[in-house]
Amino acid sequence: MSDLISQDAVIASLKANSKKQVIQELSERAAGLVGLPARDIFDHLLQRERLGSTGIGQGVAIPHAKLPTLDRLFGMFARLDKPIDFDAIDDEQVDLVFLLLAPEAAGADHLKALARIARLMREPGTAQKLRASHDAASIYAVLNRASEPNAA
Amino acid sequence: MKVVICGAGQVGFGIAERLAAEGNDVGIIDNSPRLIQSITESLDVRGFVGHGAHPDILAQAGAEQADMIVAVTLHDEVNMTACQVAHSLFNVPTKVARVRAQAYLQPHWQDLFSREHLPIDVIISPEVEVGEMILRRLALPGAYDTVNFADNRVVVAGVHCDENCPVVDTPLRQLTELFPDLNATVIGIQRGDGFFVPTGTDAILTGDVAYFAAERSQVRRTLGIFGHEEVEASRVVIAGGGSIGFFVARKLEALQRNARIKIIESSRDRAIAIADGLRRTVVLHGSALDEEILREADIADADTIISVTNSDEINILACVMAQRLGAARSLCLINSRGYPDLTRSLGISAYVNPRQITVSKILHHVRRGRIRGVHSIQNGAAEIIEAEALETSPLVGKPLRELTILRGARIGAIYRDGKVIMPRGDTQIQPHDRVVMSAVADELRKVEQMFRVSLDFF
Repeated sequence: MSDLISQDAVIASLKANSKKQVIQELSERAAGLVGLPARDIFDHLLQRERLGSTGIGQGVAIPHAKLPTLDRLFGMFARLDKPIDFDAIDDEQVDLVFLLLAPEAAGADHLKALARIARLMREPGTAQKLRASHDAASIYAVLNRASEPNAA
Repeated sequence: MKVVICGAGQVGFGIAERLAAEGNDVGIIDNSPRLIQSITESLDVRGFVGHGAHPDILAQAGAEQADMIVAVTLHDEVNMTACQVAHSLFNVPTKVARVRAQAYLQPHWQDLFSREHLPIDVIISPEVEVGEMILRRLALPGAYDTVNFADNRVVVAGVHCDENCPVVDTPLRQLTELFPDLNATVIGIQRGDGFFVPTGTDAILTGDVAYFAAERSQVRRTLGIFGHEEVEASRVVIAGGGSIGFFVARKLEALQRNARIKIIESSRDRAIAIADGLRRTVVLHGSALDEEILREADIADADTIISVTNSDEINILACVMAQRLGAARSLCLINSRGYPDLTRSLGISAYVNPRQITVSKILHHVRRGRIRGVHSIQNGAAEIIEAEALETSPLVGKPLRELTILRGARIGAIYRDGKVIMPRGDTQIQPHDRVVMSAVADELRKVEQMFRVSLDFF
């Protein structure tokens, strides 16, 4: 995962009361890291959520969007302080959020990245380890260790 | 969804009522402690007394978490400011404002309401929308309810089926054999107080209102097959010269050269003012409940009486009197909720309910998916929806007959590349098709799911 996400894009404990607030917080932090307006990111992510929630079940969501002005794939991870309603496919609340932003012309890279994230988050034990980690460094380690080919 | 509503008047109440009934989290703001008390007593909403555009009040009402703000106070400027504050300070994604002054809505100033300027996504202008609904009804007098979809290429119309209606008592699946030129799909039946989405084995009964979808060019013919061959109204009497009555008269003058229009207005000043703004319309000063005035308006020869005063009671009575004096049909504006059922037993041909129109407009932005239009029927018992199918939506690429999720919902028409397609069992929906369909309230969640994209949609 280290090609997708850097440790400064890991938030060990995010306080938010709603889906909107999570997306807003993540947009603001992502804005600082990729150098794009937060509102742009926020609008794109919300529009995508309106077409179908990216809550994939078991407390995990992978909000994503294509941004015309972005020049690379960008990942960000947040563990929420308390689970929130995300309109997820299994109606369960969400507390693990992996954000993925992709450039407009990403070919198939963005789909591959999305599939990798989804696979990682669904791997047995990963979510549990992420929930048990309380600082960015250990979360980052879980994200990367788990995605090694022999980790599963 | 979390929604903040500014203004607890008639429009705000109607919207709050529906959103709360659907389980949305609603905070409502009004200046009047009395209105807030009465709304929080009757609905499951949180009420706040204060100014609808002030940041502290908006914050208290939950703007920070809100997905939508609906600003429908009596003042355009308060509504606009509320949307601006909600945008700039609270990042509220969907902003709806009621704007009545036509000065703000002129086409050449349309840049005003945009992200960079006044960030309002949806403008509600109830008087104009009611006026347009009335014009649609006048153009298709055989229909009881009419809505346009798919860039106006598809019309969904509700039609009264009485003893003279040739299609009653026939299972719907036989209709196409019996009437091979019937290019319409029946997508809903209103029977008594109920509404249901029929299957092929259901039949229309005498007394039903049947809703069908058809391509625009086929609507008149379809109404004929249902036993309604009324011609477009040209002799019209309008009771009430307020903004709706004036709007309808002016549009009719422009649209129908041979229209003979009379307006009855009770205020002398208003009567003089609107007479100045109209060219061929005759404006009469007096009460629409005065038999002499009605006769002076040649009510006996009128195709339609349109009653659009501020009072439901006057509207109802004026319609009843006018029809008794010989008007062929009536169209009644009704604001309060108890009266619509009454209209039929009084012989009033059709009614227009502003609440239904504004609520439909809000629901358009509440339903998930790429929604193009919503029309709410029977106080929310069912909806007609136009939605765009997208890559990865569950209803794409399968013959319709295999879509078991379609129970309780029925597709009326598909709009693809500028063409209207009538659905058959083997029809397959393609990405970017716009689908016009009906669904009863309990099935709306499932309809949303049908159009929902899967995770890998970017």
